[in-house]
Amino acid sequence: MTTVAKTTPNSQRRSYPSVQSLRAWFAASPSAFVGGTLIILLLIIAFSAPLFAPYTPEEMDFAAALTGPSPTHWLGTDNFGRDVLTRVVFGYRISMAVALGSVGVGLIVGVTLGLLAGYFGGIIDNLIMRPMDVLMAFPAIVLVVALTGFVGRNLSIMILAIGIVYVPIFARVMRGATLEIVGQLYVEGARARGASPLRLMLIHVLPNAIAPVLIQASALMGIAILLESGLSFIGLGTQPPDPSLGLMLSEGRQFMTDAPWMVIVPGVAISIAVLGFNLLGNGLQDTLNPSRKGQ
Amino acid sequence: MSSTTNNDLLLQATGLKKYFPLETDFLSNFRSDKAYVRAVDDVSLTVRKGQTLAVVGESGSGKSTLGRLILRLIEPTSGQARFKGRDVFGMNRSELRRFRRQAQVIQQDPYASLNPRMRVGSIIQEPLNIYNEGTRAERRRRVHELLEQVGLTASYVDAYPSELSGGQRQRIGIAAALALSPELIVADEPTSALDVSVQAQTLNLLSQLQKDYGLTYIFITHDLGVVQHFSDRVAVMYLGKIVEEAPTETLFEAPQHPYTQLLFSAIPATDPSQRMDWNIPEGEPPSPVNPPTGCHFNPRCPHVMAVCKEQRPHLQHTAPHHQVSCYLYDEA
Amino acid sequence: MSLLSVRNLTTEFRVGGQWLAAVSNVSFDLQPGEILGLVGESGCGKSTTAYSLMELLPSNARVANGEVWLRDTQLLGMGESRWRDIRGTQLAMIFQDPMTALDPVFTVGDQVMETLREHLGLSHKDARARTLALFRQVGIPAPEQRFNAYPHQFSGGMSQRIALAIAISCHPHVLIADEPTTALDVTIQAQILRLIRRLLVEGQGTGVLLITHDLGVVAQVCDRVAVMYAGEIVEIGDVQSIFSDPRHPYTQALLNSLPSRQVEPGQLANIQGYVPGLASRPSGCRFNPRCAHAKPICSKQPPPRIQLSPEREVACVLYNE
Repeated sequence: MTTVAKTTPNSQRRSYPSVQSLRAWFAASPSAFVGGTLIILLLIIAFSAPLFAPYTPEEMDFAAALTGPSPTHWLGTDNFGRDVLTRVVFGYRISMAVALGSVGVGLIVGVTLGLLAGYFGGIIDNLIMRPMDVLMAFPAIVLVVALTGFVGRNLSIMILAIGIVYVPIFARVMRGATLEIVGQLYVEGARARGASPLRLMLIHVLPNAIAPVLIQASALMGIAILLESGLSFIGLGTQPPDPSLGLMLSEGRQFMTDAPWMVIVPGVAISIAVLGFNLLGNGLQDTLNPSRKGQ
Repeated sequence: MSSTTNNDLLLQATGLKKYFPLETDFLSNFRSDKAYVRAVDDVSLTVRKGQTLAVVGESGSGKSTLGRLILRLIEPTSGQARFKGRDVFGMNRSELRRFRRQAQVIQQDPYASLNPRMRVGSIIQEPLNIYNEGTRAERRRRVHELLEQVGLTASYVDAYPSELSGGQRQRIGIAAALALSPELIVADEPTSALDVSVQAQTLNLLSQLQKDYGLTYIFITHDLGVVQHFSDRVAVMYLGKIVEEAPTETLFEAPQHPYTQLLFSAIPATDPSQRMDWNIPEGEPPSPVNPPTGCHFNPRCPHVMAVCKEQRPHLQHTAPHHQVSCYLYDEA
Repeated sequence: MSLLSVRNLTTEFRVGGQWLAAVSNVSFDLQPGEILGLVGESGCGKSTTAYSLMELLPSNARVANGEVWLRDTQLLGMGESRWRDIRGTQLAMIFQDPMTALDPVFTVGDQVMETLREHLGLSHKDARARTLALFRQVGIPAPEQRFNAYPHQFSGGMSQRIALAIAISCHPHVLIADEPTTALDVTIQAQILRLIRRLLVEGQGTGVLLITHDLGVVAQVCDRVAVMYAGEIVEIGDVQSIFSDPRHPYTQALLNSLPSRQVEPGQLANIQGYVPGLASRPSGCRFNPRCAHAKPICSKQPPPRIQLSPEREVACVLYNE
């Protein structure tokens, strides 16, 4: 007699995102929803900039220089008669490229290093993490300034430089999360079934340890936008005539009294993007971090 | 059970020790008086094919560490284990891979033993993927077959562990352990997190599978009721050592080591007409960091003698299949 | 008059905007010096029952109906300030994890002493002496040294002894013990159960409501037992007769699934299927889909409560007439 009862799963399946699940997600974390929506909108604007912008960013109209908002130039023009709205839209392109690029570099390198350090521990941990500590001890700005100063001033160097600053941050977060997951019973179980270290790291540890890293990534994207603006402001980042938000701020400074829109518009634009990333980060913290659930 | 040809010897461990260093900071490496937790302290045992050996002990007895050692999930401080004659701790990578196919684990807490981000189907299929067993379709068929074997249906493949009850999860864990048709299964408290009625279902499943596939179990548990029902032989552990080993019936009829006797007297019988006498001595197991000298049990032992505090007793046969580590049974 | 009398207690949880009953119509009495076991599998509502009695429910739960009488006082809905007088003095509670009741940053001795000073109005010196006496009573070795130890320096068994010391210090009429020995090893479990028996039940005539899933513990220490399934008491009575002659099919199946009571060698009797969740409890008798003796009527109406003897009651149609 076999007394094993046949049963079927008693609860619903997880399905692909639907309107309902979006609504549930919004209810779970309004701030992630608002932040996420904001970022997606900005990304769409940035990457289809030519479709949105009424002019091209370098198009000068000296006759209309330094005019305020008007039906032809919604957000006014700068001292060369360039359309500010157009330049902000294209400026977002650079901001987003820097945010995604630098965090992408930091994430890929940092997560790999953190995963290896946390999983293997011991000597490998020390070999990876001690240099990270040294890197972390450098002030970010100094590091970026030094790098751009050495190698040259262009967008990819800046992305790389900020990315390198981010590597130790991601490595640390990932290492901590990995240490926690490696101790889980299911990781040992998979090891007992013969899983290789690579499989254990990629299938069992990474997906379960990545949540805090993603939260960190969102916040660091906002900071990357600020860094890019700051570097461009002091002349070390994007070079004219490229439309960077920081550069626009710096150029507008001289005309602040006559044409305040030249600083207000890029300033507000930076704030909106940073706000979006921070909202998303906070929201992710609420939804992804199990220890904060239900608080 | 009584035949002792070498052929049905599946696993033989001798002098296994596992000491965990107590301090793990960098500087403690330079100290000469490093403190250790002696989780497993000189354990030897043999397991025969198709049998169930229960390893019984309370928390801190080292029974789970012993299970992990036998599967080489941790490296021993010293000692040997032979699985079908091959030295487990001397295996190279490919030999170890082969060993892992044949020796599987069922873990204690079904709420922590399944990867929460994997669907049931992938969890059961993973061992097949690791060893590249069969084609995709064959693997899928095998997953369905395994689900049936553990009393679930194919409709579970897309479920996540969080959607299942404890008993259902433990069946998934059992299915994953069975996927590679192992010979030895180390089951670490497989039912201690489950309710009695679900425990009964799970134990029935495990004994059915043993009958069907000739599985050998090492059953790690603190529950003597389960032991009596389930095992052929019992090894009782106290503070990292086996203090008594005997066939189940013999042990339940006449436990010899004072610790085993204490354990039996403390178990609440499920028959209210046999009320216990509540004569349990006070005291708790000492710390495995500084175990008492001599017999580890001597501070709690009602029969303690002078020799118990000075010398460490060793396992000795008191009957052909019965070993006890106690001076009370010393002939000399 | 009973010491503690629970009448038609119904407790609901809010699940996705709906109020679902976790405990339905539970009634029982507890006499002085008696240990009543409340036994069942996880999710049966035994702990919810206990927390309802103390009005210590989480914010997503409420007592929807029922009365709880401590002699002649109705406890439910009497307000937090009166509860503070009653909890710890007339009604004490111990938990599975005694650490939750202790603050990790103060020494254990100071905490027990503070409790005594608050409840009994003792001076510092008297409270200290009393605390040491209590430590000795509950079998804490070297009490003077342990007085200055912090909670993390205590083992699970020792912490439970501290919790008991606090409980007995105020001579409570009722002790509610929620799985007090589940986290402990059997030898330590036996010591703790012995303490509850000797110090409270025999020493002070306390009535104990012991919530447990362990039928062995019930058989050994309880005088009477109430078996719960899916939020309801299915059978209640004295331990001797329920264990020797269980009447409700669930009680029968539960006892038969114990390895130590196996009927045929090699196979344990067990119950088909699983305990239903809060939202999917069947109509009629809640055990009917898993019951070997189910009749058509069982799925239609709730079973009658049948008085088998002055001591025993069962909720099952099999015993109608």
